[in-house]
Amino acid sequence: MGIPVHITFVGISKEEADKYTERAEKVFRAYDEKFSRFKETSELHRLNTNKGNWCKVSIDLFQVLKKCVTLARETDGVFDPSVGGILASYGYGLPKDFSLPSPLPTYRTIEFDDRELSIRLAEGQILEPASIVKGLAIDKAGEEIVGVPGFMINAGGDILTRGPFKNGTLWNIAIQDPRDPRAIVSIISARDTSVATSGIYQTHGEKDGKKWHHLIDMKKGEASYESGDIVSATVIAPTCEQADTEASLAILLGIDQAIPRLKRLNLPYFLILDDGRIVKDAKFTTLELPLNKVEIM
Amino acid sequence: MRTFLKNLQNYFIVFFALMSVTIIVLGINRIKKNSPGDTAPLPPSPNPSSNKVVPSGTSGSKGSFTGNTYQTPYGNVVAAIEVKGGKIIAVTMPKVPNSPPSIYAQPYLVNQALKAGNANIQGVSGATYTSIAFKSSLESAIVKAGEQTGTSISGNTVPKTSTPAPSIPRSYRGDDDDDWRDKD
Repeated sequence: MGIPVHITFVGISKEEADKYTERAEKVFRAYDEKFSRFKETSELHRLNTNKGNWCKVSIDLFQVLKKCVTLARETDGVFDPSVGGILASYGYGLPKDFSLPSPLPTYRTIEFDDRELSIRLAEGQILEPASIVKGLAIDKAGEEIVGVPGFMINAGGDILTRGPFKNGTLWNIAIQDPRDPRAIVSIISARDTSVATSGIYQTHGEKDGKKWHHLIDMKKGEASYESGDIVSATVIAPTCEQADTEASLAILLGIDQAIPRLKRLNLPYFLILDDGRIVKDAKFTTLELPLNKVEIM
Repeated sequence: MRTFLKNLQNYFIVFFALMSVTIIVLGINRIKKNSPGDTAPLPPSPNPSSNKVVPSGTSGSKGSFTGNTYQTPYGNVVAAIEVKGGKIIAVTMPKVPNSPPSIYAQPYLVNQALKAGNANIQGVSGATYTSIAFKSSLESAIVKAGEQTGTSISGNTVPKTSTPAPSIPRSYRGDDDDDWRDKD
């Protein structure tokens, strides 16, 4: 997945920790092999390069893409797994030297055969389900760790906690400042929950003099953003899949749609707008450690 | 008689002059014998391979130790600690990634590290690279300090430092979610 994964165990021996780490690694490797848009050997790449033909896929890939299409419908196409084509045209991931077809295929052109577990994409349609897959992989890796008093998985900034930290205390999780990798802007104390942050500051680049980031509004077909938009969205949820997905959606949807959606889903959130404003809900505030209190020694 | 007294006076002048010369020569020789490098013990020189230790003249584990350099997508991160009496008394980031200047980030990480003897944050949601690199470099600095001083290094009882308590930057204003629209 091209991201660092750190697992912290509490209350078990080093040998046991090694054993569980190995199990978790297997899960991440398996997801990477299946869902990576950066590997020519992945199942996703095989589907993406199937040139408009029906392609039999694993049930895991089938279910993930079904979820993607459901989310695309819910968001009226603002989120769309077909974003992979635009990213590939920027040179971000495979296929190499990719030219976007016109018109641009969307989630509506993805066909599913439930009986045969087959999928057919439009010619030149490149899918990227990473918004869902990373969280799914973390959740799955967490399910492999059983009988451990406490542990935390941190995969590229998406965090899953189960059980307490040392001596029954909560896990302290900081929220990174989108403007400065050295800085944090908040700390929450929590356990048995997932925290994911999505931001347009992590994955970005420049193509033909135009700046881009990886969260692309597929209705506009570009990653442009305007003043007052969300540059960093942190969402707390029972699973990493939901936290990660909703954090990405918050940025894509914009503040007018993101807040009602997060309220409806009853998920704590912490949003940073590009003008520096922080918008958070009361539930998130109750989990926060006051920075000044933490700093006093 | 007068001639005899004059000769006696010359005799004493010559005698004391020779005595003075003899005393001076003997004194110089004595000084030479006591010069450094011959008989006086030399102070121990610092180990050239551990040039990060600051031999400030006190006993026990004391010195500055720099951790390994860790790469992040934003640049290299290095943590350094200052140890006195087996305790960490200061943590700095002598090498930080290229990024916009921040007046609050570095002190915050530093204070956290001091408070618990290591970074008291178990995870950072967002781009974790820097946090991980800082923690890794800090850990390696603590290991180096322990190896070079032969003592266990801790930071749990460190004194307060003069690092000012950072605050959330003014540009970030915590807003209630219900009135965010009114802030424009």
